[in-house]
Amino acid sequence: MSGYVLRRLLQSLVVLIGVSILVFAIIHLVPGDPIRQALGTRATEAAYQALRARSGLDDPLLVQYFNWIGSALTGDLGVSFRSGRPVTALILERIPATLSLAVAAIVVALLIAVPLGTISALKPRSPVDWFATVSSQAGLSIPDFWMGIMFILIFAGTLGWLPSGGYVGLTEDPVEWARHLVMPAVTAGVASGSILTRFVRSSVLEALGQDYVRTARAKGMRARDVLTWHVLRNALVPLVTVGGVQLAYLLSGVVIVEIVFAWPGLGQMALQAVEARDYSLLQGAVLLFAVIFLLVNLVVDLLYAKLDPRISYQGAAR
Amino acid sequence: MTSEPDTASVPVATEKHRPRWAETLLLLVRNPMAIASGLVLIGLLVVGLFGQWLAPYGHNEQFVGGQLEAPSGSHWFGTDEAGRDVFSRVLLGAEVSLRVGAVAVGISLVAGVLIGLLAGYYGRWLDDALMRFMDMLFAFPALLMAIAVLAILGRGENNAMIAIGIVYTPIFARVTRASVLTVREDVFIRASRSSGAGDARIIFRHVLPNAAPPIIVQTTISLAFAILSEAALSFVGLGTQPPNPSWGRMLSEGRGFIEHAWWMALFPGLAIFVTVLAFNVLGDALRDVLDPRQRSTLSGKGAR
Amino acid sequence: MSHGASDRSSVAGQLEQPAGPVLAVRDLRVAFRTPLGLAQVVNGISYDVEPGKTLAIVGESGSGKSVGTLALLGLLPSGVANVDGSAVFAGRELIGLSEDQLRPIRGAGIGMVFQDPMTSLNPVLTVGRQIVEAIRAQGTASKGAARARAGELLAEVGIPDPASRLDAYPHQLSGGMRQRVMIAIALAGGPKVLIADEATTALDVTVQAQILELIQRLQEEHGTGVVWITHDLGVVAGIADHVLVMYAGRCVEEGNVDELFDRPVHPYTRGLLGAMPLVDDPRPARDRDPLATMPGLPPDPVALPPGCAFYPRCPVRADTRCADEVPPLVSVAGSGDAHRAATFYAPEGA
Repeated sequence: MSGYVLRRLLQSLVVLIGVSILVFAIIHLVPGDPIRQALGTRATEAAYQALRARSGLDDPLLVQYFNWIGSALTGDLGVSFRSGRPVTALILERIPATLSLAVAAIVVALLIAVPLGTISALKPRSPVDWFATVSSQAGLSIPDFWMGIMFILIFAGTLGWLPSGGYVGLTEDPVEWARHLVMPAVTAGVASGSILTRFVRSSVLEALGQDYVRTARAKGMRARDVLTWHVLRNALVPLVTVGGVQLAYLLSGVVIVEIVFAWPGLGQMALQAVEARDYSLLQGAVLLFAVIFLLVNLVVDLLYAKLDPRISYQGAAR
Repeated sequence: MTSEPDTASVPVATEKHRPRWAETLLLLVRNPMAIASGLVLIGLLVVGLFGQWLAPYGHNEQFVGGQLEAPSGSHWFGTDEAGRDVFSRVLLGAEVSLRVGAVAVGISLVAGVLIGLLAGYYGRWLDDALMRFMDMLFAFPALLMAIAVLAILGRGENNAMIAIGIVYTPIFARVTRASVLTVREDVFIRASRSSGAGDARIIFRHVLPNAAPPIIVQTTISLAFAILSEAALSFVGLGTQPPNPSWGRMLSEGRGFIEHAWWMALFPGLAIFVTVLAFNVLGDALRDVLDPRQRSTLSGKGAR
Repeated sequence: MSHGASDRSSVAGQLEQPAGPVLAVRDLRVAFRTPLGLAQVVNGISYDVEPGKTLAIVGESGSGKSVGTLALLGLLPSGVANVDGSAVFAGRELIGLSEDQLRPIRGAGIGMVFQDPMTSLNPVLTVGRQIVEAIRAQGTASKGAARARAGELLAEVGIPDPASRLDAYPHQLSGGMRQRVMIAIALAGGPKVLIADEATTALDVTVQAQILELIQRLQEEHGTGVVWITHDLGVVAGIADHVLVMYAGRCVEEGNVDELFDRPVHPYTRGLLGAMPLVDDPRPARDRDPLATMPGLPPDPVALPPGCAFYPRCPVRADTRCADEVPPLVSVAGSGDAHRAATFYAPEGA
């Protein structure tokens, strides 16, 4: 077990170092002077010099990188060029909204995918299967920003059931939190749900054809127990991986949905950073996303090893 | 069931050799979904190429006093806040979407296939270095990465093409590398190597043709996601710039008037949806015919 | 063997009748609907399984020998298989029963051991759990009682330190141990008939011998009727009472084991026996192909030849009818009814 964990950790570390170099490069690839761009033309020379000195942009590249990565490791991602506030604080403010949205969206995705994928695998070429295939194809193709706008038109505009956007903290008012969450979560969850539906369908189909399922039936087990313990239990092991990847995407990739629903999350912040040319903030956000992504992938792989007892003994085979 | 000696030979377990082009086309034509999506795409191509002549009005032609008019006989999709004909703008937007999508995928295709060929064919440290680099690019969500690239390059249509092209390069590299690995050791390649053929000749005469089916499938599916990405980037204002008609841009403008003029957002979105769906359906149909083993594993990760 | 499962009382009641076969199969036919047409995989097979006796069904891959037994318990993929004919188990017709009606017979009436214990056991569940499932599938045993019984079963099939093995996963056991677990599962319901489908094919020779010995011992202790499905005639000679040779879904020859081995009639059987490996062949069974010396392949089940199915490969072709008339299964002269063959060929020495 420990060998596999160690190898997996090392692998993540290598990718992470590479990613940090890429992210570090952002600020240096920007044409012109990033601070001048961030502050605009109206800034005083004194303000410019002050920010320039604090950003450390005049040090040699290598020194800058190690300074940056060193403080990043202690949780200091520098100062926003635009607002002058610490990047870490700005990010932390946004985390509850993004976390709410991503978790709700993955729940929506799983609620769609597991039943639909399972039923369509159990009844291949049936109307349900046909519906699952068509709707997952459609769900994958539908632009989320358009779907969100149409939801707003229908449920907020015409019917007036739900608020058209904005975020209310869970601790402030749980009911309003949920009401605000419904449309963004469904909008963000549909694409992941479509991907997962196809995945569940194919892995249930694969599990159904396994010899051990035939053994279970030959034992005289009830069809429902065979389905639960031999088909789904085995088919859903790989779902952890794919579901984890989807969660990682949702945690960092719901920029558009956040824009449509005026959701004050990390994606919206990243886009605002681009628009404001606030490169230090963008850098921090992108690094965080990549770290989340790698971390979720790592956790998922380790969880997979827990769920499938074979992995821990033959980790090298993966 | 498969390890069962008796039944293994019963269903269609007869060995399937890779179909030739004529057979491929024949199989594809038998699939009604493929035909439908093919027809939609041909229609789109016609609109993209000849939109200027098909559109009843120019994309910036304004009807003074005719702002935010609901769909009618003279304006099928209504008019926008500037009094422009939405139908004409949707037709003209096809050209932008298809062009940006095609160029972006062209960039990923060339870069990705080249990287995949080098990594798969030469292996060893080159493989490790190239593929770890691809992993790093893959560690960013697609749209976010495109946004970051545009933050560096600056907004606009051409840069959007480059950004999307970079984002979808790793998936092509992976697909190509995987197929190269499966054919690399094939007997005929060893044969042509022993008769003194150079690496380039082997790669382009033997390796690439065998790797082609999954690459073709990936190209089709990537076109769907590239068009979706272009629309998304234009929606947030980083892609195609006004006054050019882009579906994503029109949608973001329509969003502001959603309470008063639903048609401004409905029709451009529908256009994106139909286009992306057609490419996705065609890609799936192609995969069934060309590359049945690879179902739904790669597209899942490459999406969004 | 435990008779605790109450669901089985009706079945068991009928079983008390001493005489007669416990399983009687008549004219069993199985066809698969495939995109290429109807694949006729089993074409009229009949046999009896007597309590405490072993019937061996011999044939190569694709002969229909496994499909025929899976069909009895409704274990073929639903929707693609047409099953016809009759199979009476303990006085009850199996063919045409619904899934719910078949379920009490699976495990408790007829137990099955499959070829590859690696793939036939669920890799993510402990072996203890998989045996407990088999015990609890029919009866009402509590979890604790079932677990205790599972331990007993493991001991019975010769697994050392059974209590601790209950918590092992299949991949932690050797191939032979896994097959013993499979046998424990098959025995958990106290079946009257045990169907062993290539049960030793995936094992090496010494383990194979141990498993054969185990099954024979259990058979003697419980009076179980055994159907032994194999392509390996070497195994058959040691354990079978009666042998049925299948080719292309038909029975080409059947008889008492000594009779059939001494005086094979059908060219296919003669080919099989001629190609039999030496007894001390060190290679495991899966590496030997008894038909290696017989050129050709079995016919396509979608397009069976009009005459004898073996005709295309037959080295003899004794009669003009061979090509277009299916030879009937008839008694071999001088054998009473103990030996029957479906061939127009009558070898000199037979």
